[in-house]
Amino acid sequence: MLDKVEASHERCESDDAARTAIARLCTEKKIRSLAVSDAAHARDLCRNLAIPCHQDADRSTLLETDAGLCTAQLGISETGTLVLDHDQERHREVSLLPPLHIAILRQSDIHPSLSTVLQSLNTRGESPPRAVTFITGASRTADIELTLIIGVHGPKAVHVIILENSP
Amino acid sequence: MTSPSKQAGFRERVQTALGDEVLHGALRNATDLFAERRRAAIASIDDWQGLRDHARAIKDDVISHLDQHLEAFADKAEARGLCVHWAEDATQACTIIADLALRSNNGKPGATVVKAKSMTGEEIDLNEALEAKGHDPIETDLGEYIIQLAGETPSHIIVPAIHKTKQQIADLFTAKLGIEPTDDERKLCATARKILRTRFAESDLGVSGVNFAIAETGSILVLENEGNIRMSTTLPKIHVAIMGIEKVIPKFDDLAVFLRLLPRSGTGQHLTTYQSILTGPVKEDREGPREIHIVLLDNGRSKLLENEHSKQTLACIRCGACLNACPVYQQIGGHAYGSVYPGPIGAILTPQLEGLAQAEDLPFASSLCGACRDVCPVKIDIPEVILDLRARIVEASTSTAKATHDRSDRTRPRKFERLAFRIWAMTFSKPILANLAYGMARLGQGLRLHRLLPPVRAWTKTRELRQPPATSFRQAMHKRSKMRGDS
Amino acid sequence: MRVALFVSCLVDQVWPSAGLATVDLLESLDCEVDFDPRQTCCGQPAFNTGYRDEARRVATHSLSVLDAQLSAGCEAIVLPTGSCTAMFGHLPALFEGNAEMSGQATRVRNHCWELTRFLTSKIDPERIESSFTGRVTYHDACHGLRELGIRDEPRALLSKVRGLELIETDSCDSCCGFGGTFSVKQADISTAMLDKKIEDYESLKLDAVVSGDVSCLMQIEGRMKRRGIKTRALHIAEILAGTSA
Repeated sequence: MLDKVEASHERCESDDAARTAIARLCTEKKIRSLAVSDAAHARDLCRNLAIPCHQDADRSTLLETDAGLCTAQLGISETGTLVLDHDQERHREVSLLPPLHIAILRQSDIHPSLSTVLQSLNTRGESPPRAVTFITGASRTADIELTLIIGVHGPKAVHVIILENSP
Repeated sequence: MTSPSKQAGFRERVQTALGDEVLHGALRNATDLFAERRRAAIASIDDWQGLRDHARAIKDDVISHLDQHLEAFADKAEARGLCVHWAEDATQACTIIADLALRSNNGKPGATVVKAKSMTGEEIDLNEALEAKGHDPIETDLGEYIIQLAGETPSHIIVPAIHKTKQQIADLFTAKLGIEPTDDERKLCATARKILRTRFAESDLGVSGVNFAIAETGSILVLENEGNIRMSTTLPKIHVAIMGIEKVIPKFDDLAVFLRLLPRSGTGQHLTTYQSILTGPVKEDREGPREIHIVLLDNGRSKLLENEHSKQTLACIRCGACLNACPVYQQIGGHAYGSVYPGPIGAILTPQLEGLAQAEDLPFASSLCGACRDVCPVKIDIPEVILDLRARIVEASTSTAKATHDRSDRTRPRKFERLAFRIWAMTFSKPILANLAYGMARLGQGLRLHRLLPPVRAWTKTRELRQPPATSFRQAMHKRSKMRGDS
Repeated sequence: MRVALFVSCLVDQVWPSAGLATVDLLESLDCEVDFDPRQTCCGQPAFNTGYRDEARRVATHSLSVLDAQLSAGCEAIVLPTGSCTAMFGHLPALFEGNAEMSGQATRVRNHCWELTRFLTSKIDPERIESSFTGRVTYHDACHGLRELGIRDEPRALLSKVRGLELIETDSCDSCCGFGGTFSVKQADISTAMLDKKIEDYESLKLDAVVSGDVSCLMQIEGRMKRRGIKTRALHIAEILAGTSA
């Protein structure tokens, strides 16, 4: 489903594979600097990168960075959607401001449909979280003659790394 | 907002629209494309009709218990830290938001207000109100940004600049923003992105609409494709959401129903790129506004609850599907309607919000074909509401005319029309009179007198008028039965 | 089977061949057709324009004529028009508050059949023998299509007509722009809608456009004639009864 919404993705069987994938992506896309969220797992996957990796980046840094990396708490396979629970992780701006958004999603966190995700969001902790964002592909518009343009105010590209067999 | 003078120009605006070849082409391409995409998208749902029924049932419950659901929403929302404001009309709503703008800029005018697309915001003329107080509202949805640069109003609920060609937009950007002439829409988009990014970064107040407010949890949901809503609701210090009171839905799970219907109906997508579900302001260490406010706007909506047949208008989820399906909208576009809400939904909502007399042309700008009813995700029977409004308009105009002895231009056509239908009713409820009328009509047609009648002149301007044959059906049947010797 | 026929004022005065074809068709299928000449109009022109009292007045008369025919033994009321059939569907609600009238309106409505639906539901369509040599497109009149759900019936009937080549257009279910008084009160919009609908007719070299409603046919024919498009407009009864010559 991700293909249909102009989000690229790949599957990685281990954290090491994910690290390699991230490094490769940065080279391919000529990423000069990366910002990462406060999730320990996300930071761990970026620890060996050759390029500058900003943690706790402030807004002006994020506006200058080429890519933002974070985890996604849930996914929806029906629509190719990432679900970001901003109570669990500080990833609201890192997933919005840089032109490339890289999301780490565990296979085991992928739900088949929107309905079960909504139920899940409404039944844990302080329900629902204060802020949740559903992301399906890259930002887009058809406001000019209904021609599809990818990359408007949000990221111009989204890349999802699906972790299989990760605890 | 629609002023009486705007409505008085309906005929002129229609003429202008019908003569605009460029508009025609733009509308045609857009509505054809939308229809195709919608069809493809709904094919992915097993039981589309069942989904519509479910949505309508939820909306009927909301309409029947609106006050309860709103109270529940307000209680829950306030418990989660959302500031709830109630606005009876546009003026109150604008005052509340202008005050927030002032506060967001440390009590001084000149607040940078980034606005995500909101039809409700258009309805209350929010930009004008903010500018009057010295603030700087910037539209951030690309279509709305284009419209703002052009000094126009949106002509479609979902695609505000649908009436503009790429070339017109490119020329506008060159004129207003000083960019190099280009015919590459991506360059136009990149220009807007760059300019608006700066404004987002320095914004004080973010204004958004609300697609759904959930009573069960006190949450609001906004959906979009561009990312400007995320920007407007994440970066500024204060976020205010403005919402028509009918947008509340009872349960969080109800979102599953509406999120399946709205994107498919509106743009033919399975889901729009972003949905933001916000339940109160975030904690101190999190990104996002310190304050979230919501303005619950009535502005005439509660009046609609009084009418059994037309209150279903409040079920609308603002998808725009009816516009794309409407053969009248396809010909005249949104501006001809002279109101914030165009198309079939506009034809029924505007008169009910603003008063029948203010918008009495709109319910008559329909051939009652029912294409809108077929595509409405919440099954609003728009033709039924149109017929109800027509009856109410006729009733109101003739009784007003009687009461005020109004002989003005506005009421004369209606009085003449009523007289014509009174005579028609008398004639066609009595077979003898009907036959007499038929005979006279034939005589008149034979003498070419019928050409004097305005309706006939209006018809024959563009179409040949079929000549009634010498023998009518009843005359022929009469002859037949005589020949057969029937009694 | 004995059926009452409600032809509609337009068929009666302006397009009688559609009514006569309907009679011929039904009689050829062993129906006894009972036409009561006291019938006038279903009330739709007034109802659609907002004049409900006037609509009720005329509908009251038509209902009493039809109800009498039902009481006298007619098993069904057949109408060669989707829009009047749909209008009879509105009458029970129009007389809300008047138990006697809305009861009568309900009884009449329950016996009303649009012609093509009557033919495909109550008669074996195989019994209809007709031929028409030519390229034909079908126009789905809005009331019949969207209020009554009539789409397959006319096509099933036309598929049995020998020599008839049915050409479907994408615009078959687009409104022709008639809409009753809309056609003259908003004549320019009406014509613009119509032109879009028929834009392919000329290049398709159609011999006829066929519909179940003469109001639409008047609109379409009127414009085709003005634009010099040499395609005939025919009511489906005229094709099926073989009286289109």
